[in-house]
Amino acid sequence: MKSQIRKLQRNATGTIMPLAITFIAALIPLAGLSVDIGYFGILRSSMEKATEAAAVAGAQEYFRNKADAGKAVNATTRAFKMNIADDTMVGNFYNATGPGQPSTLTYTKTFTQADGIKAFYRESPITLTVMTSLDRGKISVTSNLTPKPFFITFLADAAMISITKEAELPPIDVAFVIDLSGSMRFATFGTYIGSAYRQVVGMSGLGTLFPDVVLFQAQDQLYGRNSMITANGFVTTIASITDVVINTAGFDIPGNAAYTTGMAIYTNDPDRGFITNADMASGLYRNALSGRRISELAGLAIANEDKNLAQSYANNRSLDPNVITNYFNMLAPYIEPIASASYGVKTFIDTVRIYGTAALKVGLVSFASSSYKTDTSTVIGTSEYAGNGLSKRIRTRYPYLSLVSPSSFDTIIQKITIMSTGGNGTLASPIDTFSFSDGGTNINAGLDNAKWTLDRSDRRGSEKIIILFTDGAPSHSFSALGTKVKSFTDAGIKIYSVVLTLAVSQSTIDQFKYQLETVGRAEPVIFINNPAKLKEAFLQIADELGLKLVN
Amino acid sequence: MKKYIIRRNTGAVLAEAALTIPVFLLLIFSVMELSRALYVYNILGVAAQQVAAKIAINAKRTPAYNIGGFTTYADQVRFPGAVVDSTQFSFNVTDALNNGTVVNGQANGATSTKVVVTVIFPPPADSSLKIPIIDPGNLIGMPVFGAGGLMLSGSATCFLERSRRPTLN
Repeated sequence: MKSQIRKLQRNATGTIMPLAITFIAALIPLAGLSVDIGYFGILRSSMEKATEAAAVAGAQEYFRNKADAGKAVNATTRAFKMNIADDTMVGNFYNATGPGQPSTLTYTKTFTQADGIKAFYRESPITLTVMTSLDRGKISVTSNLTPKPFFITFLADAAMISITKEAELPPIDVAFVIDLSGSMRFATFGTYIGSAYRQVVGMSGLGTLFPDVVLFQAQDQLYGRNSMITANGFVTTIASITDVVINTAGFDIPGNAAYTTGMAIYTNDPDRGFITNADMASGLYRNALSGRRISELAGLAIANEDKNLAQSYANNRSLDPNVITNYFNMLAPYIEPIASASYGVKTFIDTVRIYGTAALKVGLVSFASSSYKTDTSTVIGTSEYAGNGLSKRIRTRYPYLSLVSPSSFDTIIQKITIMSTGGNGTLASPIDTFSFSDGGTNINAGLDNAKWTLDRSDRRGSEKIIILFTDGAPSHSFSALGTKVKSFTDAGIKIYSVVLTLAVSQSTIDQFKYQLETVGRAEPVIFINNPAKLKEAFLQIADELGLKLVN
Repeated sequence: MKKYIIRRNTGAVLAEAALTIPVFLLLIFSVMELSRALYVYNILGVAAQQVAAKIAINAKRTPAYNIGGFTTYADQVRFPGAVVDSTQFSFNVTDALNNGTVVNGQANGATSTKVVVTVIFPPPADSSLKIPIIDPGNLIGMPVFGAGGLMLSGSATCFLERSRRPTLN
C-alpha cells in the first residue's frame, strides 16, 4: 500500500490537468467579466453623451422659446433619441405648454427596440426623465439603462446605469447703461434736418407761429456737428439750441411774437432754451421736451405750453403736405432714441427674465453730463459765451456731472418682477423714469456707475455684463473710453454696446469700434441707424448671453 | 551520443522559456493594447461630446456658422494619449432631419441645425500614438491593423442654437 502511494506520488502524469481545469474555470468567467465591464463602460459613456446632449438641447429650447416647458421637454427628448437611435429628429413627444408655463414639468419616456434604439444597446429599454424648472431656467435629464451583459448575467441589476445631467442659465448680473445726453433726444432729427440744407420747410404765409414749432436740439457750433433750422427757415449750425421755430422763408420772428397761450416768445426765461433769429440777435430760452412721443406728453410733468406746442405741431404738420408732412413722416419712426431705448430695455428684460427669475439680475444706470459744456467754457470764455448768446444758467452748472437713477439690484428686481408678472405686464418699471436727456456724453461715468452696481451683486461666480446704449461720441476722449473698457474687461466684465449712428460721422463710428473692440476687448459693437432696431439689438444681446452647462 | 542529448535536461528551462516568453509577452502586450484601445475609444466619445456641447452653446451664426472656427473649441479639449490634436476633429453641420449637409449655415427656418463632431484616432499628425505601438506583424511585413495601426473614431451630435441674430441695417 505504502509503495503504491509512493508510486503515485512520484507519478507526475496528469498533474497539469486539474491545475488547468482550475485555472480555466476561473479564467473563463474572469474573461467574460472583463468583456462585460468593458461593455458597461462604453454603454455608460454613450449614455452620458446622449444625456448631456439632451440637457443642452433642452436648455437651448427653453431659452429661445420663452420658457415653454413643453417645447423644452420635446427638444430634450428628441436630442436624446437622436443620440441613442436613428440620428434624426423625427417625433413629437410633448406639445407646447405656452411661455413660462408650467413652472415645473416632469416627463418620462421609455425607449425600446420599437423606437429604433441602436443594436449596441442589445434591446435594453432606456428610460428618460426630463424635469424643467422655471426658477433657474434649468433642464434636468436623467437616463436609466439596465444593460444586458454578454456573459455575467447576474451582474445586470448591479450594473444599472443611471446618468443625470443639468443645463441651466448661468447666474447673470446685467447692468444697463443708458445714454441720456442731450444728443439722444433728437439726434436723428438733426440728421434729416441737416440734410435739408437751405430747404424751406416753413408754412406758407404769415400764419400763427405755434403750428410750426419743431422741437429740436442741436449742439455745438464750435465743433460744427449739428444743424438746425433758423427762424427764417434755413438750415444753419448753432450751439445749444433746444427749440426751433420754423417760419416762412425770409420772415423774421417779430419781437412781440407770442404763443397762442399769450406767452411772449422772447422771454428771458432761464428755464428755456433759446431760439435765434437769422441775425443771432435775440434768444428765447426754454427747455426742450424729452424724447417722448407726442401722444405721451399729456401724462408728463412738463409745462402745458410745451404740450401745446408739440400737439399743435402734430395737429398742423400737414399744412403743407408737400413739405412738412412728408418730412415729418420720414422722421416719425426715428424721433425718439430714448423712448426706443426704454422699449429695447423692456423687451430685453421681458425676454430673458422669464427664463429664470433666480438666474438673472438686472440693474439700470443712465448717464449724462455737462462735460462738453465744461470743455467749451474753457475754450471760449465768459465773454464769448455772451457774444454767442449762451445762457448764463448753463455756466452756473459747471462743473456738473449727473448720474441719473443709479439703482440697486434689489430695487430694480422688485420693480421688474411686478412688471413681468404674466409676461409683458404693467410698466411699473424704473426704466420709465428716465430723466429728460441733457448735457454731454460722459460714457466713462456711466460705466463707472455700472461697475459700482455690479460690484454690489451678492452672487459670487455670476457673469457680469454691461450693456451700453449711446449715440457714439463721448464728450471725453475716445482713448479714455478704450482704457476704461479694457480695465473692465480685464476684470472679467463682458461689455456689449449698441450705438445709434444717425447723428455721428463715420470716423466716430470707426473710433468707437476701435476703442471698444480692439483696445477695450469688448464684445462686437452693434451699430444701428434706426432706433426702431433697438429692440432687435437688445434681443440679439440676450441671445448671445447664451447658456452654460452646469454639470 | 544522440540518446544522451535527448535525455539530458540541462538548458530545458531556457529552451522552454524562449518558446513561452514571446507568447507570454504577446499576451501581456495584447491585453495592454486592448485596454488602451478601449480607453481611447471611450475617450473619443467623451471628447466629441465635450466639443459638440461647446459648439452648441457658444457657436453663433454671423450670419453663417463658421465651421472652420469650430477648431477653437476642439483646442479646448485634450486627453493625454488619446486626443492630442485638433486635426483629429472633423465637423459636419446638417439639418436635424438628416436631409442634407448644410455648409456654414442653417438648414432652413423650420428645423433646427445640428453639428456632428467626429474624432479619429490615431492623430494624423502624431503616428507614434497608434495602436499597437509595437506591432509583431511588422516582423513579417504584415501589420495587424495596417500601417497606421487600429483606426478608431467617436462622434457626438448636438443641436446648434437656432439663432435669433437679426440682420441689422
